[in-house]
Amino acid sequence: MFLVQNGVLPVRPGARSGDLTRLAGAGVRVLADSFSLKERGIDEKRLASGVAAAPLDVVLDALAEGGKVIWH
Amino acid sequence: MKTLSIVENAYRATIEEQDDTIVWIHGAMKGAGADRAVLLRGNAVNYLVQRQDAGGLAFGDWRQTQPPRIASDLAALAAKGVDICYVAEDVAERGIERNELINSAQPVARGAVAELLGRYDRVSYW
Amino acid sequence: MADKKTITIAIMDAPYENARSTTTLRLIDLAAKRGYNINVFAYEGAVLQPFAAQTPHANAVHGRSVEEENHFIPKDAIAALMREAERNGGKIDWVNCGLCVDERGATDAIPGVRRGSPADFWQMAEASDNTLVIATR
Repeated sequence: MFLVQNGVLPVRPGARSGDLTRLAGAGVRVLADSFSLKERGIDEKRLASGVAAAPLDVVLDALAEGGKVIWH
Repeated sequence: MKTLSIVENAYRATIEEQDDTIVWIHGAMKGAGADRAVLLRGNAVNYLVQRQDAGGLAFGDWRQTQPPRIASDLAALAAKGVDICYVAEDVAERGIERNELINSAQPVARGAVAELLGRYDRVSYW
Repeated sequence: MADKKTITIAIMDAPYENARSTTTLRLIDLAAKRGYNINVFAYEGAVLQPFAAQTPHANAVHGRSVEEENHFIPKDAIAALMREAERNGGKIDWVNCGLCVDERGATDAIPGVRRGSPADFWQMAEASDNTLVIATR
């Protein structure tokens, strides 16, 4: 799951991020767009447990590899 | 006529407009003499976070030289006499620390919003 | 080029209305830098993204002239992305949905944009390594 734009707003610790942490615990890679984080003043080094910052390249990589990429 | 504007929608097209257009229009209206106040709620409370940084975007050889600086814009509005408030619980629920916010905005408890609305002649919800 | 891909992206948002437009351009920029062939099918309001008549303006609230404001203009970003793709051995094929163009009066698009139909989207998708739809809400 790649969070982008306002989708990154729940990734601060304590920001109702429990669901994201549980998702990561279930084996889902939970990623947050680095630019969206910076744009919103969210420190990449202080994200909810299980969430990692990542560049938008991840989406393009998934497309290039033939993955089923869905914009929700 | 004292008007309170409630702003909830955030980051809708702020990169393209190089502003938040609602914050911007309030700057324009204040400049024209309007008596306005702003209440930020929901995701828009993030606009008060000082360390927002939308700089560095480029598309091919086009570089954005004037990214939005929304926290500064709100501080500038406050400096011009526009009351800037925010719903305190919306900040806390987003894991934002009070000391991350600009100094010139005032918290309002969610339960006190109705009373706040009652202090104005008009309320606009953007 | 072994790693060269062809990607199709369908978009629907008019410019200046939603952050999806910026994210779309960021994706296209990344693909252009990789030298990919990028098909864009612009549907509904998105046909206005490459509208040739867009002009920048000053920003009196911030005290900036037209030049100082350097306002983001979608058609210029798209043209820059077309150049970027070519520089890296790729190409952007931007198709505006014709009926959407007609009802919006958006006939005047920048060079490199062509008029098409849903059949073009289907054909582009069939011929691509992958397709991403970024729909409006």
